[in-house]
Amino acid sequence: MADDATAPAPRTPDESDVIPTWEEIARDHGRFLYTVAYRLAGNDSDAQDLVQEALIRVGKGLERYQPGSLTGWLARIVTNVFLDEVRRRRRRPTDPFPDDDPERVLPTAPAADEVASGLSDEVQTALGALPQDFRGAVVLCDVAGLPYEEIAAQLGVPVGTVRSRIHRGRRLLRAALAEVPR
Amino acid sequence: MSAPPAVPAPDDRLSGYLDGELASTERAAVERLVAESGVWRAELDEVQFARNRLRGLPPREAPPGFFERLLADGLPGPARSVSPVATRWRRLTAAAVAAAAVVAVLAVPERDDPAGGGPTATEAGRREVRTVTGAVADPDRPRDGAGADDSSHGDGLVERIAESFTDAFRW
Repeated sequence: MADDATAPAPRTPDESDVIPTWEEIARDHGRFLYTVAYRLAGNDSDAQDLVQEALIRVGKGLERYQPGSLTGWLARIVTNVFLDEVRRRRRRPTDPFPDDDPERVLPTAPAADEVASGLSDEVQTALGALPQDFRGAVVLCDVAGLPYEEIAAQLGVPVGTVRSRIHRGRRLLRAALAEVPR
Repeated sequence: MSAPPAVPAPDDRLSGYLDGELASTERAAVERLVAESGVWRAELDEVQFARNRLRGLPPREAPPGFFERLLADGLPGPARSVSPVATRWRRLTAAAVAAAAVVAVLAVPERDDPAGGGPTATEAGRREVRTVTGAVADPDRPRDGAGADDSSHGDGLVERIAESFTDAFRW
């Protein structure tokens, strides 16, 4: 009944004992970083800022990186950058992220392939309208493909909280996509 | 006769189930509830629909040239090894260019002296070096009168150049 859905999301093959250089990460994993950043931020301008800041933190943290799930580590960094930025903008609400400002929920410019594929922009809009805690958990699970335990460690919350946020996030997303045909 | 046990409302175990994150006992319980309850089946379908939509999103491409620019700029901050050396060379080059400009500015009035008694190139060079370093005042340069304007103009420039030298060698 859910056989096809229980398969893990596709991931970048990153299980390696070799520590990549900063340039290799920027070159080989930049697309992954940008995708996660865009799904979190909801627009290209903020996504670029998030990726730039994430790569700065990658450079600072690379010496301490333990070989393992590189995409998990990168997803954690970009998510933390996003959450830090959300907190910063809450303190100085001059340039809010989308869910603080309903006018900005609409994506600025869907990618050409998304327009061609039809419904991706609606999904992105619905994703951008989720509360940030839910969005972070959902993106880490369904975009970055991380297991609950890793998401919990990265967000600093119990696994049960992760499961709850993901589930509630998906339900809200489904409600927002109510007009979208199956 | 006892009533059948009430079916609990669907909960976040459904997402855990879809993600393969449930222990075997929980998984069996969810499967039983889904099999017995239309409400659970409907909820599973809804959550699975949203999950599939999210996972079906294509990768988002950065604007053209974004990563190329990042790679060209390199890692900012202290870890960027090129920066201090490049900055020092830029300062030294700027100072050298400025010094050459001083030579040109100071040499022109001397050559235009109608009395024809200007210093030789060696003398001019000696004077400039002394002035720039500030070690020796120029004994030949008039303190007032016709040459005073040129002198004050040159000294102001020289002072600025001296400052730039100081800045350049502060490294």
